[in-house]
Amino acid sequence: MARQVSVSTGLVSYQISEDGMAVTSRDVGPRATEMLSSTVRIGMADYSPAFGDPLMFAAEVLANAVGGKVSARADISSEVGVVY
Amino acid sequence: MIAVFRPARHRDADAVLRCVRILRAVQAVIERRGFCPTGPGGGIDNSCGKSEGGGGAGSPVGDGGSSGGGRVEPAKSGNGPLVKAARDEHKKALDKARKNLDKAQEKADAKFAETTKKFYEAKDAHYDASDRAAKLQEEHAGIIQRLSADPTNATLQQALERSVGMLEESSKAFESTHKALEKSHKQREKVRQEMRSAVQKALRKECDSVNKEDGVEERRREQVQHIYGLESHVGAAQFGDVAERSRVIASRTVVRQEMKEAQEFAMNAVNSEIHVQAMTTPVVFEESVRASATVREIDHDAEQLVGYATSLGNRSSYTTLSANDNASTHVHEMAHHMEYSTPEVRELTNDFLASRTGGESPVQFSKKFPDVGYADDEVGSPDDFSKAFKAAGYSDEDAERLAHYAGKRYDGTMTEVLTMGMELMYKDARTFAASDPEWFDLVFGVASGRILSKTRKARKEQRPYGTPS
Repeated sequence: MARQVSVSTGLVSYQISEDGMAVTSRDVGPRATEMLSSTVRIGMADYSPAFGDPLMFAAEVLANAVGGKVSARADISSEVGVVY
Repeated sequence: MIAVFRPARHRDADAVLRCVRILRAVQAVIERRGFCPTGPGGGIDNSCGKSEGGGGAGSPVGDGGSSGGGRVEPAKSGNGPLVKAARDEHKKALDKARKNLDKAQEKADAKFAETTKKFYEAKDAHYDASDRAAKLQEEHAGIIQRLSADPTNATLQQALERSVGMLEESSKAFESTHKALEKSHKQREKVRQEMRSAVQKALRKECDSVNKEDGVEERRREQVQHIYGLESHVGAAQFGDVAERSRVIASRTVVRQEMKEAQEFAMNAVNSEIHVQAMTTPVVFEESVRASATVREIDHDAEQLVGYATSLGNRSSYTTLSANDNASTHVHEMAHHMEYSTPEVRELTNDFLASRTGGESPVQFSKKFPDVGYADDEVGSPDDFSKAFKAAGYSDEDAERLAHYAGKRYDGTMTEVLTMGMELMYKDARTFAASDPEWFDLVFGVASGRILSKTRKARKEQRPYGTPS
């Protein structure tokens, strides 16, 4: 199942999924989330592996856009012989 | 009243500062003067940077405290003994190549700075509208919540009507700023592409010149082009469903476009006669994964075999990429293979890293930058790598993270100085050259093969690297 990260401004929360970095929300309309997905995609142009998990980077872009906070998730662990 | 968390972002002042930095970087190159984007107001004295923003006494690994990343003494020059010798030996050629690059990018630079300025203005306007819409949405949700507890409250009913009107209005503003953002993004990317084409011509010229000097007949370039055209280039390192899924992802228009851009850049900026193996490393796509390079020593040894470069089936090194990854990330991972497959590159990058970060205690990224998904074993120190990232347009906060990553330490075999440098060269080579010439010379010299004297000599004499001539 695709991972999701939540971004919340308090009462309103958004979810961002690793499947195409699509934004969804039960609190706002589909047009708004569609536009926010596009905003995230534009923001992803600045992504580098140096920023860590791409899903968390996308969530940061969304949080910056809506003035919200990203819910934290556990660190990943790296494999031997793999470099990012 | 609900407190709304507002993280630092590209606010107006930040965007203006960034544009000023870019414009000044361009101006500094034109005027052939030193440039220091970390100086007050982005000044022109390049003596600063090392001592600024370093902050505090040394902190051990895992401290994650001061923004200086636990620096214990000012970082040294990027010219470690090996890099210094390489730069000195090829000084004339490197200076000439940088001059050609300046000339190539000069025209496109002003246009790019202008579109970048407009992009950040549009981005800030959109983020403001988005922020306002989110706040109104929150107020609206609050009113509905209170009304459900007190449905006959006339004041709340009036407030709900008002909030509906305001929401509609903010939604229109949100939509219009979004359109403006998309438009300015497209314009900036178009100009960036023009700029990239000009730069790539200059980079290609340098690769050609190196091969000509060495009397090398360019055969591998065609092989690389051939492999890029093969469907099996994607997923070749995997089997069955994994390989098939990988090819399905690679067939998407957006993914194909990013891969094509990265390959075009590689074909011009990287010397295929030297880095053929890295350029043709098989790629595996996954839906969402942190991009990585799996590197195996065996591939380097096998590269000596005739016909190896044209074969994909026997490779054990590969690159893993996400469906969302941009061309810059493709370039980053390819650079890992460049570093690993050519021993002299590893010698130079490790020498450079040691000379730049010597004396700095490594910081654990997961503690310094929590909640962004770094593994606990990722450590490094930033030196003043951030000046190149700031000049490239990153916010101070992002530049800080990227600088730490550029100074990442593995077990002494790999670094991130080439990978992060290649990303900078891909983004804006001329600004990179102006903001951190030492680092640029290393990256440019490795990619073009210019400073790889020992490798070039071994190839000329047709003997394996490291054996006596």
